[in-house]
Amino acid sequence: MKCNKIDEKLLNEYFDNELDERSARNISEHLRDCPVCSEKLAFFKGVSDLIAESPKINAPVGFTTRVISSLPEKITTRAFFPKILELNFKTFSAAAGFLLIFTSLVFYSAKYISHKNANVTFEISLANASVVTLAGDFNGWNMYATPFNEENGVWSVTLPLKKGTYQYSVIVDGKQWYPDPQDEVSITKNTKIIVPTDIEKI
Amino acid sequence: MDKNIPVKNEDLIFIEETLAGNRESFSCLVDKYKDRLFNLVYRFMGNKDDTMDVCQDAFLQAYTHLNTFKIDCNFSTWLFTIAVNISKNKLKRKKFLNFSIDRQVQTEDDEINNEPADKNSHSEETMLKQERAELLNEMIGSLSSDYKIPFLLKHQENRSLEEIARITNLSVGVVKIRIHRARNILYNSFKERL
Repeated sequence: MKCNKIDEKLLNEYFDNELDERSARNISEHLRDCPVCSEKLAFFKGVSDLIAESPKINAPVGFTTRVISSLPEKITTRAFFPKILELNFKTFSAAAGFLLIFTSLVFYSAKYISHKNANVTFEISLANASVVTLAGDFNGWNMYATPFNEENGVWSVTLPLKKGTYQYSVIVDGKQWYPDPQDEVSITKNTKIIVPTDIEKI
Repeated sequence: MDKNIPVKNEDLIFIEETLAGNRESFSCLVDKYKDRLFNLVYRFMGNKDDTMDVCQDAFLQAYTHLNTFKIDCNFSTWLFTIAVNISKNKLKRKKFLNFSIDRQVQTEDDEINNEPADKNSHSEETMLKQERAELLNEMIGSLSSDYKIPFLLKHQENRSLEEIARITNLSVGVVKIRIHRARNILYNSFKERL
């Protein structure tokens, strides 16, 4: 059932105390006689109270430590990734048992420039990992944007990438960043990159 | 207003010290805003794992881009802007991968959502109230992020329309309309479900 006298915008503005005194008074008078609007207004209030009274979900213990330990050593406007790597070289040197990647699609000669995509599959065998993700130039180094899919301990993901130069890294369990020991790999067509896990520890 | 001045100054001091290389100062900012951020992002994401990812990433991005922070901005607004963008991207991705509904209900979180059972106090009325609250919470959770984010910034964070507009990168008018629509969607869905 709808009320034809008061539109939804006005009722919402009344609820938010955004109306001038006169308009608010008119709505108040209308509410005395209109069960439809009264019910709706009571619902708005109920929802607002429910949210306000909901139990607070605080950050878990150790959250600050976790954030601080994930920060790069220094703040830079660009290319903070190498700084993260430096940090991880120190922080995870003892713990790191695997390793990882880096690849570059190098494509600098104008006559070879193509805008066609190449399907690049990244694959890594990690038996004990819970979450493996890929970060790189192609996803703004967002460590959550590109998760690997796992099948029998083999993690893989395929991305259509424009031919060009990329750097990337694999992140294991959201904290360990593994660089590729090869620094750069040149790819100009559909490629599968098997990320080794037995390279020198970092 | 006077009450806000020292708060602003405190954040600016932390920011300046962080930029000068003092990571401890950044941990003060994390301590100060982590619970508020976590509480809000939890509402967006619906589970603790995703909330943790979003909040951690938001602080990391705030830190790495701290030298682009404008002094005339409010740090919490800036931080929440970052978190909202990360949340939106993650929600979009989850929607695309089509596993959001299954993942949103997790046993670990159920402990938080459900109050301890007190059988004696469960009169018919309180049961009804609780069921109603659960239904409403579920409906808020299933609002699209376009509506849910401005709506929760308004009701959970008590942000002004101007602040919400800044955080969501929308105009004040659009923010207002989305909050109104969110309420109306909830109302209509609620009526249908009863």
